[in-house]
Amino acid sequence: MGRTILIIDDEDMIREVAQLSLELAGYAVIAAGSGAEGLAMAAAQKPDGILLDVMMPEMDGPATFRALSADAATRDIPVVFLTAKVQSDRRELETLGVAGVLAKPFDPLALPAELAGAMGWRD
Amino acid sequence: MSKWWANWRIWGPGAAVAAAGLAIAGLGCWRGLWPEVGLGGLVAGLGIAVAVQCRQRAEAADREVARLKDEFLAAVSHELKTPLASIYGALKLLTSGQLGELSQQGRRMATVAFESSERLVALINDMLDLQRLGAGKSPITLEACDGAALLEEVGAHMGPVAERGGVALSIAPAPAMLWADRDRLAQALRHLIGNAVKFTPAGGRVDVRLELEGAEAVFRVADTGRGIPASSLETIFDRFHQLDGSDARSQGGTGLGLALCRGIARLHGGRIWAESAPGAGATFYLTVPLASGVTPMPTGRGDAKIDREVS
Repeated sequence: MGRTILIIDDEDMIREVAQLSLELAGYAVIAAGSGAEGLAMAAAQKPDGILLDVMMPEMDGPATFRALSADAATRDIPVVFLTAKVQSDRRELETLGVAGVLAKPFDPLALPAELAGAMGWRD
Repeated sequence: MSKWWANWRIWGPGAAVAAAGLAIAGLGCWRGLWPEVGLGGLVAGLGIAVAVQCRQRAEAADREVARLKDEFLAAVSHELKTPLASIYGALKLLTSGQLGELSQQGRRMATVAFESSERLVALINDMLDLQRLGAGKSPITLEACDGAALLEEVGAHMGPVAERGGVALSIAPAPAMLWADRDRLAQALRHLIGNAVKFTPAGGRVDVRLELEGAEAVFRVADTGRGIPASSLETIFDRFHQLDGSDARSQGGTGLGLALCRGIARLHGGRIWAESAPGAGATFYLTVPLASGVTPMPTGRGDAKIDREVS
């Protein structure tokens, strides 16, 4: 495996649970607490995939995703949204061009497989 | 929609003044007293103006209250969900044993906490969904959708649930092109089948059928559970209605599932109802229109979006 995932979420606790869940599945995880921090980390460390929260203060998920897509250094990193929004809003998010949209609360035992599925990783 | 007499306490006094003015004018007319006619007319006009003004203000205030209520509920639900997501996730990891073995009692307590957080998640999700349906904020996309495939998919999803409850689940789909929002309809059917399984003791059965009747498709979910008393056949679709106080605890329901199903049926222009003979099980019916019975949109199938509001 050996893949690195960047988690961008302003909620420390959720970040911690998601990080542990992905580490237990063998991923290396780096984490950022805001959209701006996440952008810098993505450009500097080139993770294999990004798990991005939708509702964040200042730069929210969609804004962060647009900034990632606009930068040649981060454009090709697949992004999956993680959101507490209801199903009808999730559909709207899917139209933005992300690799997938996962719901909060998430099952930490299923998260790694769901993430890999959305990213199209098959190992 | 509100009735014409809504807020009568607010516009009533203005209307009463208007009526008095009309009475004075009428009396003046009858007696040939023209000053009274003029005065009466003036008073009536004034009364009507006051009544209309009061009524418009009251309606604006009502709308504002409804909007604030919806916003508040959405914000509260979202704020509840955020910490709950960490609780739920942390407990799931703890109970999985992946973080090291707990003592037997420790595992039991962690399981109690996890299952309770699971119920809170379900409750908040249902509350959010219902609030969005009620506020007309939940746009549904109606399009032609294969009813048999949908039912097969829902059946595959609910099979393990029925199995855990020791209930035999049989699915009998008929070929039907529905005019429906696939995700929403699947959600309603999962709720109905889940309910049927929940209230059917082990060894019983739940039969799900899809039949065509005129321009409608009828989903029929029949169980062999304890049935529903006639007095409750309507009220079970209300929010937080449970047949008896112990139901919510013993059956793990949120009390919102059927209200949600009714909202979804209405968004489709369909109906939902239940029939039951106590002790002999219950049957739930949900109808949605057939695609053939709906005039296609001139822009073609892809753009055929219909947004409707439920009252």
